[in-house]
Amino acid sequence: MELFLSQILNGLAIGQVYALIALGFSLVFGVANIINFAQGALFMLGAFIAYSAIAWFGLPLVPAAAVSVVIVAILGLLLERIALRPLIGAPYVAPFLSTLAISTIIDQSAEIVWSPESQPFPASISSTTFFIGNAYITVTDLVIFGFGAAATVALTLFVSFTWTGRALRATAQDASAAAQLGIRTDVMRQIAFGLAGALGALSGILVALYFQSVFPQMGIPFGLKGFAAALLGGLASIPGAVVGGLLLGIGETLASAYVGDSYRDAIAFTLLLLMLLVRPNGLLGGGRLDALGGAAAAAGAMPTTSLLASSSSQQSALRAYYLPPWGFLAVGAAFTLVPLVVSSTYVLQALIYGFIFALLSASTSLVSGSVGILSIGQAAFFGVGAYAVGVFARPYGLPADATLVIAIGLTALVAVGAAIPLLKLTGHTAALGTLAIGQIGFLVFLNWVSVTRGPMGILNIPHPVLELLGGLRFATTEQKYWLVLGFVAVALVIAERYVSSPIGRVWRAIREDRLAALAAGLPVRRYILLAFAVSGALAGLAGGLFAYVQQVVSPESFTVETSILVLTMAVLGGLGNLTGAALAGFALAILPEFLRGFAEWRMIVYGLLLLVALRVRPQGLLGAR
Amino acid sequence: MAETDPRIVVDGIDVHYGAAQALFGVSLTVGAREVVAVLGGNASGKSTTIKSVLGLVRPSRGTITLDGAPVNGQRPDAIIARGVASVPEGRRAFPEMSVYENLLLGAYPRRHEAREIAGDLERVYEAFPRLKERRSQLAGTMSGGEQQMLALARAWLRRPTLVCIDEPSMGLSPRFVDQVYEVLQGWKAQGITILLVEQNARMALELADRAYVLQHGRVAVSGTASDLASDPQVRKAYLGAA
Repeated sequence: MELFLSQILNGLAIGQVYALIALGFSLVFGVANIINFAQGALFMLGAFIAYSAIAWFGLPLVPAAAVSVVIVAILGLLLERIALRPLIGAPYVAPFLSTLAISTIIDQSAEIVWSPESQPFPASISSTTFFIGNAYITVTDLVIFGFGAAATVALTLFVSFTWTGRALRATAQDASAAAQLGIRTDVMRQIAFGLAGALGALSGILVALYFQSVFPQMGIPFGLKGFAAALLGGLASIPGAVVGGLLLGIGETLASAYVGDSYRDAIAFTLLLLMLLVRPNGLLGGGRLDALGGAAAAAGAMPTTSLLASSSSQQSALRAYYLPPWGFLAVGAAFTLVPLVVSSTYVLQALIYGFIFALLSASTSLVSGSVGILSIGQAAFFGVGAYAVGVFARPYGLPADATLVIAIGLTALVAVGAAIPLLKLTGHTAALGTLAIGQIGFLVFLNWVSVTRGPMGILNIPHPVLELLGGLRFATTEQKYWLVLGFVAVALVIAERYVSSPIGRVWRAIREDRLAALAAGLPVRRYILLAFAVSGALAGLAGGLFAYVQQVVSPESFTVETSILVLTMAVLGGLGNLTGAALAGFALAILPEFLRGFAEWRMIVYGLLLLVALRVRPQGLLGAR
Repeated sequence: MAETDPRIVVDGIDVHYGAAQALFGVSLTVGAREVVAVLGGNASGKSTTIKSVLGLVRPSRGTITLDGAPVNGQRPDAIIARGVASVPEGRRAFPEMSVYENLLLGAYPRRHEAREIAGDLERVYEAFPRLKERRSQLAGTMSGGEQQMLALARAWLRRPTLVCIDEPSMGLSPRFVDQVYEVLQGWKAQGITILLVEQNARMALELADRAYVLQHGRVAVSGTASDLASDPQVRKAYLGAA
């Protein structure tokens, strides 16, 4: 009982931090109608700038924290200016992806500046512990709770009772109407981003104090938890963010106390998915999330759930370029000749990865583009396929035909299962749901040691043998090249046939206007599940081939970074355009081979590419379809 | 007819929505203290005309001047700042804010005049007792007619010299349409200049001094309201005369 009470008190403290991150999300979502994926990056920067101010310049904690909050608030303004302002009127998906790109760039830059290692936070609050009966609480907990609560109250008062606060809320509810009352909606957006930056920094510093350490990768998990908290309470609701944060904090502290600390994050994300399943609009939320443009899209001249639509009616239509299904066979046939000309195993190896990522990128484009459920968790499906091959090829010694069929089938099943909580969601919420799925997948690969061998991974996967072809063994790089090429080409033909068929048309109808699709009597749920099954099958095949090529499967291949990378490929190619996705996947996968020696810059280059592409050609190279 | 300098001069504007062109060289003027109606059927370009004046869409050709100064390409807030108020199409009350807060936001451009705003709020409550009753209720929970009254009152709290109104009778019962036009008659009597876009030609022509009829994005007919009301073609097309 004492443990229980202590955990509750402890959970309240960390929950208050989640509430602060959640408030950052809510403010920006409310005013600018976008999920600011970079909130986690701002949070991380807040912690690191405070760290540097203390460790490098010898400032005491409080001034260091103040400096950090101010700098990150300014960065928040810059974020709006550089990454979002140019995208007003672009497709709804563009600003979201833009913050994704920025967040990738910031995270990777932080690893370069501060090294990827975790570092002890050089300041602490007294570790005096109070006892309430037998339950205990530390001064740190109290300070964190106090600061978090004070910031929340100040924000609530500001938003409720000042002109700027009212104008902020008005912009959130109807930006066009607000502009017609003389409110400068662009300034309101900036204020929201500045405040989000300040809240992010503050929460980052509090987390650093709580865990007594900082690491450059802290942005994504905490950002995601902040988002989970915001969603739990109902996005765009200030009291909701606080309630959600506290609930999440208590829930995961109890989970880590009674189930085990390694499950802390997995439980937090599972809670998020369950919440999405039961009450997609959150505890205190309204129904404003149905469209990707938020209320603006829902209230627009043509209500839409499409992530390719845009708030600007003064846009012209763009055409898409794509291959017919047999075109993939033709391109594949041309590629079979390469090993006859090129003997460098290094080049062939690069091309093999190019094929695998072409397939993975196409699988992402299918759900993200055709059906309009942005997938930021594709790496989990990729991983399921890879582990299926790892597990069944090594200990069970099955041939490749069997393992690949298992990989495809199992991944399709997992994808369908993962899609169930997403069925009621559209727009941003669905995207964040897939992100949670990706994280859960990674945590399972990492922690389900009896099957996946945890961080060690599965080593020495045998060369693939196809029993159907009379026990043909693919041992050399050339042979694997042909094997991968063959499977990828056939899979792309099948995928393209789906997308070009009446099924593909239904998928696009669901993307454009889900309500209309439902009203037209289309079995929307079934079609979404089918899309996930197809996408999962493709990703599973890609993962299986990847396992055979690598001969090693380990969790670090299936992180959020991989998911973001693959989504970048799909967007660059043109969402829903499998030809574009395959082309961009192929190109971006072999690109790092030309950037050797710049390995740590790779994600930054991808981030910049995505950012530039969104600005110059938000519909993708070959056009979204 | 306006003898003094016109408040609004729209001169030969084209507006495109992507590849589709909505307005073709539309020109109109609104004189000081004048009520001008823009009439026309669906997709005739009436709303686009008023949106251009408010800076919500950008003409690809032509100019718009407000009190002699060009306002092309300016943001809506800059145009509102020059004494203009807007009653948007579909009312657009802020659904999750109280009636009181909605009204208050109407006075946003003159937010530093706290005392005057308090007085004007009282006058609004006197004129619209219904809004007073519901002042702490969320605007989104009110009926369409009540929301239209709210939108009118919100625009009035701007204390504008010029109001742009987009389809105030849309989706309202005849009783509320009458109430809306009573309010607008009152504004006209106060000397407020009004640019009104309306599908309900009968009501609009009763209120307006002059009117323009748009057809397929072009001005088809224009003249004084009484001339238009007796024009056989207008009567046939827009007033339902046999």
